[in-house]
Amino acid sequence: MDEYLLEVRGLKTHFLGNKGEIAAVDGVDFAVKKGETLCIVGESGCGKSVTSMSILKLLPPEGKIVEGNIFFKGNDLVKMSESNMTAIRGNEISMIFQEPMTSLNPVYTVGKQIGEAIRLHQHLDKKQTREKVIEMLKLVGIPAPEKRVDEYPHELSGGMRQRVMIAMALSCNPELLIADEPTTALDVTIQAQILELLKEIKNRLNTSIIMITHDLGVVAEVADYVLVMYAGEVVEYCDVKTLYKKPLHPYTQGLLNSLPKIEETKEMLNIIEGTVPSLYDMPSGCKFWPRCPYAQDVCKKERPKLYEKDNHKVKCFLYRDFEKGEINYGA
Amino acid sequence: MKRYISRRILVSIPTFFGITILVFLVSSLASGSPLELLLSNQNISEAEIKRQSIKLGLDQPLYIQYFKWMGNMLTGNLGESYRTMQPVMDMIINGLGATFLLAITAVILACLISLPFGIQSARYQNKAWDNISSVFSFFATSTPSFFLGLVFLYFFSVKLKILPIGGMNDIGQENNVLSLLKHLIMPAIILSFQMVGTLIQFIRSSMLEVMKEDYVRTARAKGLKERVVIIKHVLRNSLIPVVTYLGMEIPLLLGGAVVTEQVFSWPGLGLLMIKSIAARDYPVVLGITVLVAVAVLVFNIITDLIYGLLDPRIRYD
Repeated sequence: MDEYLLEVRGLKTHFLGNKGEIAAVDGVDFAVKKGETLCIVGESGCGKSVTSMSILKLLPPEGKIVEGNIFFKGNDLVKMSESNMTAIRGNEISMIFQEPMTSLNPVYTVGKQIGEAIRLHQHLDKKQTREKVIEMLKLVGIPAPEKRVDEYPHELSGGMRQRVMIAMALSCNPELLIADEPTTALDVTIQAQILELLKEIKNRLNTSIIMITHDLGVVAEVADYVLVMYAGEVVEYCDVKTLYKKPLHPYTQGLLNSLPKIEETKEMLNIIEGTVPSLYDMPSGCKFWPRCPYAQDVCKKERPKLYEKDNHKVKCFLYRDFEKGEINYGA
Repeated sequence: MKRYISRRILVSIPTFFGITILVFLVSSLASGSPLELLLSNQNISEAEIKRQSIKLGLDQPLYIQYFKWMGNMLTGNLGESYRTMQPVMDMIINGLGATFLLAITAVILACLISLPFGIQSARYQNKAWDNISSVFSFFATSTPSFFLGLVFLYFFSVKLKILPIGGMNDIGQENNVLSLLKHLIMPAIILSFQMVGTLIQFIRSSMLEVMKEDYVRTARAKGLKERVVIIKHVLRNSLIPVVTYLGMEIPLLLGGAVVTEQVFSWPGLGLLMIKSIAARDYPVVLGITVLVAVAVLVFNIITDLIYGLLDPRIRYD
């Protein structure tokens, strides 16, 4: 256990909606080692972001962790007090958000906003903070950092703002960086630059990264391990090469299948039939069966376990004899 | 910035003249002439009334009267009061000091009371604090100030006898600050009360809006304490509606808090206004109205400049 930087066990996060309590995250397990990148993949609303917000305990007031543990360097964050959490946030674990356009406060300069975290956690004086901010801006590849440091967010482009967010997140040398769809709001060339930057930083500072995305292209680019989520649950968890070579879960297969391929000249793209079920109205048994091409009777009645072989975990009855060695690769 | 201010001032000039024309016309349409009081007295002869009318310039056509009034005003002369025969300018300046003191104290009090209430109720939305402050703010907004003023007078001046019943100073104590404060406290509280209710609601809803912003989440993710997040990141971004409200409210207060000044006999412009209206003393009524108009114009510009200080995205070029 000690070799993991972060270990999430049986995490359940519920939201109090107006139609009752819903399980946004319904028993999620994963672990991240030092210097590793884990990608959490899934459709909108599958609980990726809630999982990441649960780690930092930054859930909105209606959200609550009801079960599970989140061990960070051996300490359970779920049980940690709010004041101890503030010492971890932005310092040992920091976060980059999806929307660079709105994630910076419009009324303070970029330098002030990055400096805030530095002064808070590293207790530097004003002059040292400013130097450190300029150094960070340089690190994330912002030109003329001495000038940019005094500018306001609205004076910067989206890509620049995301670089500022990254500079802010890295300013206290965190051990874990959580990036919640960091490139979704950016155009493709800027996306590539930001991913390149994250990879470079990871290699240079040996930071562990949890990257949340719905873009399988991004996953292939940066991930060491991949966690596929569906309706608040982990459906498949393995290393990135295995996932692309031997995807096991019908959902993962569907996802990979729906990527347009360069050698195909079909008019129609492959899709996964149906839609994600409403969190208020989950099907009994396996949550994916209404959309699954291999659904059997047992899928409708019982919930599958996470079956494991050779560090490849999958939640599907097709693989229930997995542990016995009889591998049946589905279709 | 300088260009912006001078442009705004230039635009204000025609507005100002427009207001003066309107105000002058409306006052001339008002029923009742300053000579009415003389007319009701049987012992005064027609000839005497005519003589008075010529003396006050009331026999002239309306536009001549306006131009005379306007011309005098540009040289700083607002005419003479029909009632006291004093220059209107002196009377206004006399009252303005008292009104200004009362208004500023009330505004500061209102901010001091409503900020903590508003902040706490946004922070603990729909919890006990929020409910208490909502009830308090509805109470504050809906209680008429003449009523609350009388209740205060009854308790603090009549029953408990700890505060004076009215006026600004005790006789012979004109330079005694403590006595001034004792006189000031009740009218200032009453006057601030109306603002407190509105301000609490403005601060609360504006903060709740800002608390949903992504940058507030960023601030929390940095590890800032909740108190710092609220004060530095939420409050600062919530102040624009508050500034807008104060920018509209302050010039009206400078025209005199008519009801409050009346209840507490506070010798400000509100009291002067009431007395002058009752006596059909048009030069004074016009003078105070013009003063309020100028205050509105000035505070509009000040409000716009404060927006720029609060939000760097607002530019003036």
